[in-house]
Parts: sequence; C-alpha cells; structure tokens
Amino acid sequence: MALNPRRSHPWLSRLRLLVRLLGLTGLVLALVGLNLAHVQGGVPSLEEGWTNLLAAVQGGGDESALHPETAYLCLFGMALLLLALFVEVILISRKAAFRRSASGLNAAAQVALALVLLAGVNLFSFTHYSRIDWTRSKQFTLSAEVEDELRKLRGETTIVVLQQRRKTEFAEDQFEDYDAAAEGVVIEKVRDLAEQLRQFSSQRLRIVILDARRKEYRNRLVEETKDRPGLRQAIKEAPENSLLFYTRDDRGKEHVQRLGFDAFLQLDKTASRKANDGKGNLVLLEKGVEPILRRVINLEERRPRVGFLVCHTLLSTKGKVPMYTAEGLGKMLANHGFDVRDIVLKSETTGDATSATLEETRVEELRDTQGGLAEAVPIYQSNVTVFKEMRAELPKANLASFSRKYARRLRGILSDEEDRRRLLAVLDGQIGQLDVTLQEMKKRQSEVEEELRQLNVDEVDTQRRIADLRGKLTRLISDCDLVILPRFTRLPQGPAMGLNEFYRLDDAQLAALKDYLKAGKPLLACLGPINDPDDPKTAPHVVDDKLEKLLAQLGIYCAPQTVLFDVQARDFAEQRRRRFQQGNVSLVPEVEFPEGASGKNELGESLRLTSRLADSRLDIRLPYPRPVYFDPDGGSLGRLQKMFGATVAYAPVGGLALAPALYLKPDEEPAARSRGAFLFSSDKSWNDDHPFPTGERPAPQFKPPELNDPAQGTLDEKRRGPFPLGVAVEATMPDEWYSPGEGKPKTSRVVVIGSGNVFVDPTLSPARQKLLLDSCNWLLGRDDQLNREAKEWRYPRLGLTELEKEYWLWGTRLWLPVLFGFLGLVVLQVRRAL
Amino acid sequence: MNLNEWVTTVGLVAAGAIGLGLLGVLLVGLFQARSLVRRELAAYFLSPIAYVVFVVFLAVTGHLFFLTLDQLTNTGPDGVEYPMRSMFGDERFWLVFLFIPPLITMRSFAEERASGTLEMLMTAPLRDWQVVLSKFVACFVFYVLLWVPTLAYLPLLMDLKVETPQFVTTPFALLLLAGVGAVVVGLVLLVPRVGTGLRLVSVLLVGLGAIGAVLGGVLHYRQDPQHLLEISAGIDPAPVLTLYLAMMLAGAMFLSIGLFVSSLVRDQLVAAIIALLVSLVFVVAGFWRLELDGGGTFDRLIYFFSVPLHFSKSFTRGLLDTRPLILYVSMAALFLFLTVRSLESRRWR
Repeated sequence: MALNPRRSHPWLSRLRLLVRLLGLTGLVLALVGLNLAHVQGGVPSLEEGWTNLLAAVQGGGDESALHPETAYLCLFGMALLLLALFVEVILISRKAAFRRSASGLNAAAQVALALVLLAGVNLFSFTHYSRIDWTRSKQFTLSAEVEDELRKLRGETTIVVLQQRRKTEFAEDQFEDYDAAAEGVVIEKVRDLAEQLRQFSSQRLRIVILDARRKEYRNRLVEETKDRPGLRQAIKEAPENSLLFYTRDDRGKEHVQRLGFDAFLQLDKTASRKANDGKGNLVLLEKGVEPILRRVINLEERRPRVGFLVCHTLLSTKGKVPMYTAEGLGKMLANHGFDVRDIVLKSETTGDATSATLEETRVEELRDTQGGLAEAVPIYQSNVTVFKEMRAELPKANLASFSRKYARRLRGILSDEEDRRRLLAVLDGQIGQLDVTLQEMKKRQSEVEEELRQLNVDEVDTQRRIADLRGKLTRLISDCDLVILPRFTRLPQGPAMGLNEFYRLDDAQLAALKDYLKAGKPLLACLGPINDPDDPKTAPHVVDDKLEKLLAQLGIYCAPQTVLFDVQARDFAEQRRRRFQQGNVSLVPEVEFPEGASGKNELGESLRLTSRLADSRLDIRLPYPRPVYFDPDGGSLGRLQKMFGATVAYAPVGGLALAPALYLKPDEEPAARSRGAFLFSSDKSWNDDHPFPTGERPAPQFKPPELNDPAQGTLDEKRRGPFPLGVAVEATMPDEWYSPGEGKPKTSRVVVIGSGNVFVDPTLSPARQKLLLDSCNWLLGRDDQLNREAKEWRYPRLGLTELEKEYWLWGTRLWLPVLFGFLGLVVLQVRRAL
Repeated sequence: MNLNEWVTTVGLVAAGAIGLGLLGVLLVGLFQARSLVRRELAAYFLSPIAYVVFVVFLAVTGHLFFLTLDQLTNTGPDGVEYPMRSMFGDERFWLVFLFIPPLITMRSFAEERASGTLEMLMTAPLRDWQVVLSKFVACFVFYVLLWVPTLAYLPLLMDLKVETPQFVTTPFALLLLAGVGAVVVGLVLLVPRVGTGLRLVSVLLVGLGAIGAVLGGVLHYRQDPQHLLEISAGIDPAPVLTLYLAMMLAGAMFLSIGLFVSSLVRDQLVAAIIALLVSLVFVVAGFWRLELDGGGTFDRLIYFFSVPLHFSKSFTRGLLDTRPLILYVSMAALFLFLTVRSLESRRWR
C-alpha cells in the first residue's frame, strides 16, 4: 500500500515524528562524541579518527587515545542518524509516486544537483587554484626556476619565526621602534612567501610565530618542541631574531637551519632616518627570496664544517682561559649552523708538531691523569691502612715495642705518655686527611674512567697511532669546508706572547695545508705580527716563515712590520715619564672599511654596508696588527727590501727571490696597496719594524725614512697609514703546485687578517661576530648571505601639506556622508510633497 | 599543437560559446524585464533605507580612509604598505559591511509577499528567473552605486598625479574619445522614456562605446608616445583593480543570499536577520586571528570560506586568487537558482 502523506494514519505520523526526533538526537550525540574525541586527541585525521574509534570499541584501550564511552556515544549517535535518514529516504521514495510530490522531488533533485555542482566546482578550485599577481613589480611571483625546484619538494617543513629581544648580529645600540616595525614587515613577508611556496610545492609548510615577548611564548614553545629536541636546541641557541627551518627526514633524523631576519630583509637605519625629507620612513633592503628558498630546498644538506687549527688547546674553542680562548668563535659559528672541529698542531707535552683533535689531546690528558692516579691511590690506600693499624694498637701498646715495629714510620722513639697522646692526635689528623684525599682521588678516578668511556677511545687510539703527520692532518682537514688558522702572536696589551717558533708549522703540516688549498678550498688565516722584542735589531726582521711563503705563492704578502697608532705613541711617552707606574693603555682607533682604490671587495662592501645599515661604526679595534697586501702578479710590486744588504727580507715566489725590486709608481700606489683589501687601519698609524720600547728608543714614534732607504717606494716603505689589515682574495693556484694531468681549480678564496687575536674572546662582540660570519660566508661562496646593495623597500608616503590633509579628512569623513544624508532628506521631502 | 592542447582549446571554445549563449539569453531576458528593473531601482532610491545605507557605509569607509591617510602621511617607521588593505581588510569594515547586503535585499520578495503584490508580479508575462534576475540586477546596481563615492579616495590611495591634458590625434586616441562619447550619449538616452528601438540603440551605444573606450584606452596608452592625459600612480594601482573586482563579486554573493532568504519569509526584518546570519558564515572566520599558520587543510578551509581573509591576504594587495572568485560566483549562481526554485515552489505547494 502506497503511503499518502495527506491521509496517513495518525500513529504513522507520530512514528515519523519520533524517527525524526531520534535522528536529531543522534546527530547531537554524534557531534558531542566527536567533540569529546577531539578533546581526547583521538581525531588527528579522518582516517585515524575512525581507526581509533573502532579500536576503543574493540577494547584496544592501550592503543587508542579514546575513552570507550566516547566511542560508544559517537557510534550510537551515528547509528540513530543513519536510521532516521534511512526512514526518510524510504518515505521520500514512496511520496515520489504521487504527481504533486513528483514535481517537488524534481525540484529537490535539481537543487541537489546544483549543490553537487557547486561542491564539485569549489572542490576543484580549492585544489587547483592560481594566484594571479597584478602588482606592478610582480612581488608575489616566483621565478620559473624556483617553481620547478619547489615542485620537487615533499614532506613537511616547519618555519619558525622567532622574535626575541636580543642584540642583532651587529647592532649593539638599543632596540628601537625602527627594529620593531622592521620585525613586523619581515613576519608578513615570510607569511607571504610561505603562501607562494605552498602554491607550487607538494610539501606542507607550517609557519609558527614564536614571540618571546608574549606571555603565551612558553606554552607555545613547549607545544611546538614537544617531540622536536633539535628545534628546541636551535631556538635556545638562536642569537637573534631568526627564521628556523625544521624538517625530519625519512629516517627520523632532524634537520634544522637558521637564518637571521637580516638575511631576508634588512633594516637600513641610516636611510630610514633620512627618508621622507628627514621625517623618517621604514627603509629595508630586500635580499630576495633566495636565502630562504635555499634553506627550504637544501634543508637536509650537511652543515658546513670548519677546521680550527691551533697550536695549543688553550687557544681552541674549548679553551678555558679567557685571555686565550676562541670559545666565542666556536659558539658563534655553532649558532650560525657550522660544525667546528678543533685541531691541535703542537703536542702539549713535547711541543713537537702533531695533528690531533681535541678528543685525542683530551684522551692523552685523561690517560696521564689516570696513570698518575693509578700510582697514587694504592700508596695512599696503604698509608691509610698502616695509620689505622697504628691508631688501633697505640692506646694499649708497649711504647718501646711499638716504636720498634713502626720505626720506619715514626722516625724516632716514643718515650712517655705525652708522646703517645701527641702521636694519637697526629694519627687522627692524618687518617682524616688521607681518607678525604683518597676519596677525592677515587672519585676523580671514576670520573676519568667515565669520561674515557664516553669518548670514542678506540677511534682516538687508531688516530693516535697514525704516525704520518701529513696524512693525518690531510685526513682531518679534507672533509672541512673551511680552515681557520689563527696565529696568536701578541696580547692586546702589547708584549709579545711567546716565541714565534711556537707557531711555525712543520713541513708535513704545511704540505697538508697546501694539499688542502690545492683542492681549491678556502682558508681564513689570522696572522699576528712576528716581530720579536728580543730581536736587538731595528732593521727589517728576518722572515723565514714557511706558511707566509706559501701564502706568498698565492700572491698574499704579510708584511714584516707592525702597525702602531698615534695613541700608542702617546702611551709610550707617558709610560716613559711615569716609569715605575702603571702605563696608560689607550684604545686604538677602530678599523675601517673604505672602498679600496683598486675597486670593490664583496666582503668589505658587506661590512661597510652593515655599518651603514646600523647607522653606527663597527667597533673592531686591532692593537698591534700587521699590514697584509695582495699582489696577484707575483712580486711585480717589489718585495725585496735590501737587495744588497745582508738580509733578504722576503722571498715571495720561488725564483723571483732575487729579482730587483720594482718600485711603485706614485699613481699606482693606492691601487696596489689596497688591492683585495677589505680591512684598513686608521690613517693615524704607521708601520714599524721594531714596535717595542727599548733603551735606545723608549717611545717608538713615526720617523720618515731616509731618502736612500731601499724600502722606499715598495710595500714595505715606512709610511703613515692607512694600512690594509685584511685581504679577501680569489687566489689563483700556482701551476707548479700541480703535476701534469692533475685537476686544477680555477681559484680559491683566501682571507688573511693581520691580527692573531681578532677572534680570541670567550664572547665575541657583535662587530667581530659579523666580521667572522661574513668572512666565513664569503669564503664558502655563500655570497647571498653577505650584505649587498639591494632593492629598497619602504612604505609609500604622500607629500600632503597639513592643510590639504585636513581638507581631505573633513571632506571624506564628514561631508561625503552628509551629502548623501542631505539627498535622502530631499527625496523624503519630495515624496511627501507629491 | 598536440592532442591535449587541441582538446583544451576545443573545450575552452565550447565553454566560451556556451557562456556567451547563456549571457545572451540572460541579457535578452533582462531587456524584456527592464520595466521591473527600473521599478526596483527607483524603489531603492525612493526609500530612506537606501540613504541610511549610503550614509553609514560612507561614514565607515571615510573613517577608515582617515586612518589610512594618517598612515600614508606618517613620520618615523610606521606606515602602510597596502592602503587598500588598511581600509578594506579591516575587521571594522566587515562588521559594517555584513549588514549592508541584507539591508539592500530584505525588501525584495518579503515586502511583496507581505503586501500581497507577489501574486500580481507572478502573473506578469515574465518567467520566474526573469523576476529574480531583475531584482538581483536592481539591488546589484544599487550596490555598485554604493561604491561609486569611494572612488573619491583613489587619488590619494594611488598617489595619482595628473598632468595638463593635451589633444592627441592618433587613431587610438580618437577611438578612446569616440568610445567615451558613445557611452555618455547612450547613458543620456537611457534616461527619458522612449520606444523600444531607441532604447536598443542607447544600450548598443553604451555597450559598443564601452568596448571602444577600453580598447582605445589600452592601445592608446600602450602604443602612442603621447597621451591625452598623463597619469602616474605613486602607489601600485593593481590593488584598487583587484579590490573593486572582488568586492563586486563578493557583493553579488551576499546579495544573492539576501534575495534567497527574502524569497522564503514574509517579514523584512526576519529576512535581514536570517540573511545576516547566513552571511556571517563567510565573514566570521576572518575575525579568527590564526597565530599558527599551519598550512594544513583546516587552515586552508578557514581561509577558503572567510571573505575578510580573502581581502586582507589577496585582493587588497593586487592578487587575484581564483578560489574565492569561484566561490563568490558559484555561490551567487546557486542562491539565485535557489531563489528561482523558491518562487516556483509556490506553484506546486
């Protein structure tokens, strides 16, 4: 019998109502259940949610995050809903048998079809969308190459935008409104970029903003780093506002890379203050999207490894003495994504050349300690035992026999009770002391054993057994992407630190370094002056350093003088007057980064720009540096100071050692002296062969050279500053380094700074950090991470006068709405009148 | 061309032909219902609610313009990169905007139903869809006119600089001038009550004039060395174009929702409230400030349905995102279709 809705039985209508009510209740129950399941964390995704639901019902309470009650609630609600829908479908299909209902059903079908069409079209557009960039500068458009790269990406990457009120790379001045405004722009641009990246990659990009100044920071940090220790560590170590890129590879290994905000958009404070006719505007330099894209695309690439070659563990990045340690360098490089490997070049015990990692020297040290303790502990133990026996026997013992028995220990005879009492007191004291010492020694022994267990002793032993010094050092530095070679020859306060001999590299070590350079790998050498205070001569110092000769073959000339500053001359004079009092030590002038006469230098450009962007000078002061020059033509500018004297000062390139000095022409001078240079001394300086006060010359002063001075017109000429203190060059490897058929790289990047202590400090100042970081980035070919002149971004500004502004404000805010209100009133009046 | 390109080309041509055919049918239907359009439009301008809407809308946009102008003339590090976003990506704007389409559409069918004129309207020699389309076009025209005064802000929002006009006699310049002239004449002829023939001529003048003006304008400014009017924009004008385009489409969506709701109920106020609640679905997510930009499906869905987010992220910055555009057009089409069905349902209920 067909159902007739108009003439249905009352009980049937009630039954239908009941079913509908049940369906509605089922819907509510299912929604409540789903909400509870979501709260219990059981619905991370649709598929997992369903699996968890079934697992909870089947009693898999351990595996499922859902409570069984929640699962039952969900399923019961769904069942009721399905039942009601089923009944409705049956009733509708019965109704369709009637003509009136049929037209309604037809309309319903049309509506359903329209809804399906709408859903289909929008689903398609949701997954296949395009963002058409109509902007003039195409600021939301990526290049075709970048799009291709992005299409290859898979997996999930999280970009953490970390805001924290710490000093920036360089700027030490206080945080200003300009910094805050720049941060806001960077965040927005990063979001935009992420949106662009998402459009082309199948990779899921999450953007997380962590602002350390907001109160929810802690909770969010915990939430985001719950299962990501690598990310937590990176956030903890981030030295400044940063973008952190995080992913986990297929093997579950975490990869984190960091980028300062400055690498993306950099605030130009100088331009910001001057902009808008001095009224100010936010001016940022746009570095482009490449730095960020490079991070996202190469997130899983190996961190650059830096080999840090030092002559003593004290000078390493793990050194503990503030005066000598390069701890600041180590921390800074680690914070910027480098792996640092310390390599010690001299044995601490013998002073002989070696090539050992810090682990090796540590094992050696620990083994020495272990050996010493192994000898000492039994002796102490035996002493304690004997003293305790004596202490036990003494109160009741016959003094004569006791004295005989322990004659070796007592060194005398106990004669009366007073001696007995005194000895008892002594023994009590000794036993106590020895017990404490013994416990400490045993504790130390177990600590040493524990540390040795943690170190990879077998590997270290294998390394230590390698007798081939060259092979070992070659192996240690071959997988380094950059080698830093500091030669800390002089303390900032002045006196020479030690014998220059201590820093000389062994032939085998030099050969290994040459092999490294031959491969076209970069080198950062920080070479302090080699003048020796014990050298009685004031004449040019005899240079016989093979490392410097090696560098000379690349065209880099480390001059054998020391640069002194006028303030130091005053200090010397002051010191002389006050003789027995503490001398004054003035700050030497900051180094400068002028544009070299021979053209631009990328590194110098970056540092110069950094100074300009922060509207402040880079505070790097180098006392007692040495001049460093670059002569790519190999000796054409004349390096021989005393052709006919007793000393051949310097032999630059093999066979040219005895070539006559070619004197600089006056017009070539500035260019030749600043070629490749990026770091200069102040002009209030001079170069000196013997920069130490002596009896004959108690206060070194600049003295113009004699006219017949053979150094006249050469790079070694005694003159006033400025002097190049650092060169950054693309050096061409000499042909003679390579055997026929051996692959020769075109060039290799080398930076030489004429100061050994430029990076010596437990904490590097921001300016020195910048110098180091830029040097490393340049050496590694990461030019995009250097500061360069770039397109400026700034807020648009209107040049309205105050009066014009007022006209516009009143006109648009008040009179335009009033005009339409007036029109409305007119219309109302006209309508009434008509 | 390979097979795929052939198929794509043929598909596009077919879709274009169908689209043009559909447009032709709609235009013809609309022309037949022009009296209804005129009546509806006149009704808007004779009702005080229209002026209230104008005043409120312009007061709000005027205030937002004041805030934006303040930023554009600021000193120090503060400013605004996208002035259009500062105005129309703002929550305050959307809070007010939410009320406007329901206020415009609430009377469309509800008033007719309440006053009993709907039956009379349905006896007119017009199809249901023509009635719906006429009412929609009328309220859409009113909505467009609502935006016209905001053009007054543009010289500052684009930092326009206009040099003294000069007369140029290149073919493209003449085409531009002729096009503009035809549009003006056509519009003037549309005003008086005239016969069908002259009405058709005026419509043709407006249409052809507009095409000529656009074509001539583009070619004149691209090809000719000298221009009738030298205009330069200190601020990128693209956001203005994308904003107005998207605002029209979004408006069409909200208006169609309002029309549909109005066709269902008898009371205007109820129609406005229900339309507002339905529209809220497309606006409220925009107020949800997502601190975590996960890029996951949920976030993308929130974005997909949130009109304020479309504007703050895309349209006010010179970006045309196809997702919201398709959403607006498809929703507008669906609700207009539902309105037609709703009117039809009176017949078989």
